[in-house]
Amino acid sequence: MKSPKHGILTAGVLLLASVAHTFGIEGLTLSLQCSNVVLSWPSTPGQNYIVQYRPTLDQSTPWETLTSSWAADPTTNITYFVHSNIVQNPNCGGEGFDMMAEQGAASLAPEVASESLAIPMVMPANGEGIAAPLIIYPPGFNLSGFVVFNPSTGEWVSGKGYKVKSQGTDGASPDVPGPGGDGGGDGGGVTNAPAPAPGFYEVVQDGVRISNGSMEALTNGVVSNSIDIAFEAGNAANDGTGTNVAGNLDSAMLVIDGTEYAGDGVIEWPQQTSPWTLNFDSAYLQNGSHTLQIEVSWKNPDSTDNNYQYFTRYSDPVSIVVSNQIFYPNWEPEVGELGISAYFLQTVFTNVPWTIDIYDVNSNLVQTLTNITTDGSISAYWNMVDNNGVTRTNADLDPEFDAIVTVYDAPTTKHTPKKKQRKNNWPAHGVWTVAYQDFFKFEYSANNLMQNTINSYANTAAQFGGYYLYYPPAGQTNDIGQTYPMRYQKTNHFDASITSAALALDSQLLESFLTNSNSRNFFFDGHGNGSSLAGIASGTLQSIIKQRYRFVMIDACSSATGDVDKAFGINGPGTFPGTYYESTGIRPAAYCGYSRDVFYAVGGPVTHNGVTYDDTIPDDVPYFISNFLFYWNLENVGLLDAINDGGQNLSSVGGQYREDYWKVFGYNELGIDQVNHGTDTW
Amino acid sequence: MPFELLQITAQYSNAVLVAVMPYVSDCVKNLELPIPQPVSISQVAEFKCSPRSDLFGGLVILTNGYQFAFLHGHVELYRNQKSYYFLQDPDLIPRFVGPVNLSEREALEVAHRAIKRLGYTDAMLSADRPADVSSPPRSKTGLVPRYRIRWYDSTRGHDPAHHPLSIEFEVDATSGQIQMLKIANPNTYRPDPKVDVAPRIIGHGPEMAYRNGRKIVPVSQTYSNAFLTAILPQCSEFARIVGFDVKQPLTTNDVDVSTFICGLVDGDPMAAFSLKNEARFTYRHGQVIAFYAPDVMELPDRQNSHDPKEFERFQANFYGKVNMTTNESVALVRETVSKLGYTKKMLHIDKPPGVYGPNWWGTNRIARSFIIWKEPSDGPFCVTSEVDVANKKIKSLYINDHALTNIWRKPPEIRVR
Repeated sequence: MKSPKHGILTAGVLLLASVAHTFGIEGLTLSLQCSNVVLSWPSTPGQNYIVQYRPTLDQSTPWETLTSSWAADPTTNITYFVHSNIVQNPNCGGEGFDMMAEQGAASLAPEVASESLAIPMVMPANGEGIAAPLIIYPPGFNLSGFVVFNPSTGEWVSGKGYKVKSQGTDGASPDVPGPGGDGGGDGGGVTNAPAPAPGFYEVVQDGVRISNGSMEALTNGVVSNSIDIAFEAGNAANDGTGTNVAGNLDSAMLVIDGTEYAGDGVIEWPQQTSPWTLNFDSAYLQNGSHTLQIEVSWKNPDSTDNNYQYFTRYSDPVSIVVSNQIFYPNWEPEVGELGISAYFLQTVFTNVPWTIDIYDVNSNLVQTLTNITTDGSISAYWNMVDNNGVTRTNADLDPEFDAIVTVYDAPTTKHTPKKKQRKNNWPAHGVWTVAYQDFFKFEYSANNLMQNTINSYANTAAQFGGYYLYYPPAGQTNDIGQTYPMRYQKTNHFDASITSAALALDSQLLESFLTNSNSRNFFFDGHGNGSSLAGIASGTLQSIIKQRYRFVMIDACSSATGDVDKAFGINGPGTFPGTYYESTGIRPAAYCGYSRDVFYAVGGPVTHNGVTYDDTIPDDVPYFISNFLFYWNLENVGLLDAINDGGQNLSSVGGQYREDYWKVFGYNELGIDQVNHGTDTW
Repeated sequence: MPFELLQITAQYSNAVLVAVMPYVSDCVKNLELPIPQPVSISQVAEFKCSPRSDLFGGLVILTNGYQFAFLHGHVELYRNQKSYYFLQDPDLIPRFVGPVNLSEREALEVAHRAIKRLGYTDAMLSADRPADVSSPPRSKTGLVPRYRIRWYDSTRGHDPAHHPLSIEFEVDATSGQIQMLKIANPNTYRPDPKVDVAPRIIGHGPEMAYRNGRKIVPVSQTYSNAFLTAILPQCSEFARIVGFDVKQPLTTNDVDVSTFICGLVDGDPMAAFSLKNEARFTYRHGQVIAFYAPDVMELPDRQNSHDPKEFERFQANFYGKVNMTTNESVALVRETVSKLGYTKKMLHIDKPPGVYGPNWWGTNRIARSFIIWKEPSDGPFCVTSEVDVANKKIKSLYINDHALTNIWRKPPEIRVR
């Protein structure tokens, strides 16, 4: 086991533990100097570090931030931090006890611990991990799956059926659990050692840092096949206050050459395991030079602060050279709705035969495709009929397929990514979910054009399949959430009625619309970023939305920079001509988002009708939406043309011509109602 | 001006259709399309009339499937069911496969001839420059004999590397017929024909009522006059520090009284006014928090024209040579706010700002930079400023006193009611 990243301190004894909630710097060292704890770690000049402390591992105990901006020592590669007067009953006459926080701790064996310690210890029963003091586990912690060291007997016993008791009133260490659990043990064998005063430290670089080992793997020669990239990440002072430190990341993803990585290199959920790793399959890239970064987002611990729902940081870019004998930069992850499974691969070999062996979820070989490539490109189309003549288009039975490609003469093989097959349940006419956040309520919009324009979007949707939206009728008293608008808390105009519960209801309602299998189009106007919209993480959307969408337009900051498109089954960032959809059987679909943060208002007070407003929404902002809809609908031009036409003759907003930042993924010639019917073919 | 939504009655729609049909007929003739002429209303299968007051016209669909969009005083889009690039049903792609009888050069000749017959010149459409030509695409069943020819408008656009579309053709490489034409260049815009049916306006948005701004509690005339007199010295000093060239000191005679607003917002006396030279000031929380020079490019709540000529005329006011680096622009703003008595930390401008511009318009530089400090994510603006990078002057400065409550100062005490 590698890289425990916490320091644990008990009175007079320093230990390290592998615990669930670990993240931090590699090579952290703790030492005692009388009543002070000295932390040191390998550092890079110019970086800042977050140092945090808490007395227990109980996750309900908040970390105390000792500093959120501890600058690396500019003169050397080691940085020190002293936590003063923290040790109770210090042994100022003796020598400090040093222990490296990395490999040394990881190898701490029970027998070593039992010789060294006179306190109850706990470690995983499977032998993985290291021993940690029982005291660090919170009351009620279930010790099944652990072994417990009883210092009075010197024996390790199974923790099965035991829970940690509540601490005694004297604050002494918890008892070794007795049979019966629930803290009901008799305390037999409890040590009479002095009350320890445990402490835990973590040091995290402010920002995102790829581990030394991963950096070596990425930069020491060419990169081939898949590698795990470990990283650490911390976020300090990103809200302008200088105090916020967000620990548990919400999502992380790979960014290649400045755009979203085509593979599944995404951590989608709040993660507490260490080390954080992203799997990077280099075969998604063309052979050659690339730049790799890790983007990390944290959910703001303050759930009421709608203005800062997520914080995002990037690692420094890393230059890599990729080389694979078989690779798939144009990989199509979906099985086509028309019963085609298309395989697009490349090999460095030419004039060679190849085969693709396709397997179902039970690892049964269902079909083999074979041909010869003259130029190294491999395009193969499976008609979904298996070796037994059975058509495999039932998504319930065959939700995905696996494949192994073999190029002969070399010979070389490659396990391809899985292909997902969705249910073939397109509705008679795809419905539009239309939602917006009430984000512009404090800005002036002449003639209420911003609101009217959003209404016109819903009215347009009504012509082409109808819409899902909800606003509470006047007089409604029970709050079931609303999506039109979704409520929004403005920092400078705090509204006590907009509670976390109300915001959650709105999110739930939007999610229920989006997961309705009739919903195949989505327009959202509000706040977002590359990995969320309206405070809903893209990972959440990806896990709950089972159907594929035809059209998605997210009028929110940086909505084309992350993986929101994947949540709707429209896998960017590529664009494809009509022939692509013809050959793959995949229904043409398009995702539109912004390639950066964009302004929707200009700063500066204005006064109208006895009211003063902080900012103004120039009519260029709603004009774009109106123009876009006008051309898309009336002229029935393709999506990209409608966007370009819609942006004509619009003035800058804060120096940005925001229309220039729209990005379209997928089929950029999509018509407003094209392939929106269940009976459509293409 | 904001547009209005029109109620499309049969009477109005018919009137518009009658008005645009001669243009459709001319287009058919000039593109040498295989349709009997003149094209009459009896050949119209559908007309989708524009519901916008600022975009007169609509989409004419003939019984043979040919479509003509009339907007901006001319037919700006034509296509028919043989247009591969407007194909809505990729299932039909095999029907498009055929022989390629025209070379690229011959297809370009077809396009140039059409431009001339339509009454335009190559130069006005940037078609005197090299074209972007897509060769016949290959489908699963064979070559689709279509050339896609596009010229881009080098005189417009914000990205010198990617100019906006000027004109686009789809030329049938089998028959030589133009199957699609899109004219996007504003140089081709013409006056709209007149119709004598006045449409009813249905989409006129209500004037913004009090929603979620801050209400201004009125004060007496005596109070407001006294307040203006009391704050003008501060406004004078502000103007001097930001480098606004105006007669000093400012007096009430310099103020355009028709623009003067004074009142209490959350108990704080505020004033907003323009000078007779159109410079605008807003005073709140004991200080000038917003200033806009008369020649500022971005003025809050200014109604920008979306007419291409007026739009370009307006932008041309700001063309100039870029004489400042980005860093110099940022430094100018920081130095100015320092002279106004703020520290960088107070205003949260110790961090790097967002800097936007100077932008391009075609080959011209719009010599304005926008320096914006904003709280991260979707947070409020802290400080925004427009800098004239040709003349090295600040043209606007806004310090958000609602986001930065630590800057509040005591307003002058007015002893009248």
